Amino acid sequence: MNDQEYIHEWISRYNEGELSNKELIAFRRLLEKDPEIRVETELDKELTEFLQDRDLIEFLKVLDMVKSKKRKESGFSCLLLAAVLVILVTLGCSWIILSPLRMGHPLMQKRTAGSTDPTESRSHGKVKFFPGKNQGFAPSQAGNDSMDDEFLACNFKPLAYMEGMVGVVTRSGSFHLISPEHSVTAGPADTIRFIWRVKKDATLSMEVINNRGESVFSHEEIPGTTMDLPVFQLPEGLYYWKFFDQDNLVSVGKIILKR
Amino acid sequence: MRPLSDEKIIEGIINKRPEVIHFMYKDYFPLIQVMIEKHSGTLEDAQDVFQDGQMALFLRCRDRELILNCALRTYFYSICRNIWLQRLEKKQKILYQPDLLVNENSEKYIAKDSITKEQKLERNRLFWKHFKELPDDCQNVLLMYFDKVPFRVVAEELGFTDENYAKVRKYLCKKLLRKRIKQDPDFINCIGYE
Repeated sequence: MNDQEYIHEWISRYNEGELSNKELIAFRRLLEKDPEIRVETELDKELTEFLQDRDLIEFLKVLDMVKSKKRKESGFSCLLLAAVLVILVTLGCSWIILSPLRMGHPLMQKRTAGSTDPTESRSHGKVKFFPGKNQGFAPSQAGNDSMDDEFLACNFKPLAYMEGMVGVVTRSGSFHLISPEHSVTAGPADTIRFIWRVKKDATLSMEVINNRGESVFSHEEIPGTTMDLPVFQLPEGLYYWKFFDQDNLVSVGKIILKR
Repeated sequence: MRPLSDEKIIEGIINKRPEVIHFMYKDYFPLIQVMIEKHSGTLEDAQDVFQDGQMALFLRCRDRELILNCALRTYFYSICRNIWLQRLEKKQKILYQPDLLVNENSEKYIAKDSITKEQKLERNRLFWKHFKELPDDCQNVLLMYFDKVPFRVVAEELGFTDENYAKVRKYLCKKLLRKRIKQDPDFINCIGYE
């Protein structure tokens, strides 16, 4: 032990009353001379008092135990709160994303026989056209050109919730569209040919809606893997098509129809 | 948690009952936190003051120094408020009057008995903070020694080779504890030694 070590030992022994008389006299002399040893001795004295107060130490242990329990509880509460927030955000996002898919929404509305009352329909088996009230604006023969242009522009205004879905293929395990592209531009005399691949037991149907979400065409239980969509009956404008496998929406695209 | 009467809380504090301490945290802490934050303190300050307040309340209950003329909640609030205001005053002194030795007021400040008690609380918290960070065998050897357990038994209990090693270990552990306390930046704040 060097001198410093001896001093440290003496400090402890002094405060614990373990120094002999001779050592005590020598240590007191040292205390008078050295302020640093005085501070150290004072600290040791207080520390000794603290360590002797077992009751207080036990109380502090309990305080710590309660504090850490509380911290755990609040950590758990934070975790719970975070989890609830995540769930809420997820639900909110799902609601926003899937809201167009909900039944009753134009995107999911499938025209079934008898469920609608088209003002004028031309039926080919399960194929229906709804050219009357659901059609967009058609320019008059002797109309005002500038007004016609303005109204026509309305026919091309994108339908927000559908725009986001164009090109999106949902639940598509059974369906693969080969032609046309998801966004197609067509003229008045055109017939758009849809070609796809589909699993054998699929029950495909198709619906076309205009840019106001109104159904203008539907075809239930499409046989085979091709279908022609005659667009000559439709006025110029923006249309969206939807393919369903049974009740599941499997593909969405849009048609820009220009005369 | 059902509200507890003042008597039950005092009894629980003396008997170190965790559920009573927990009740105090739940019921009293928000009050103290608001008070500290209103007086330019932080959440951490509030936690320290709350712990010191509980320690002060425990010591007063235990040493039969508690004279309750109002609701315990009010009493506890005033303990914490005093602790915080004194600490704040000290902080300001340190900030604005660094030369404490030539400051007349500082002498008066130290002379107050309540200040000494407040300093003691702060020191106890510092001691405890470092004590619980010591290795387990160090904590045990110190506690057993101050419980007046003979070194022979300490050595047996803690698996030391012999009682001489237990003595050396006790000395080294206390030295380590003192060293860590002295290195703590808070030690300077609560030193108060002449």
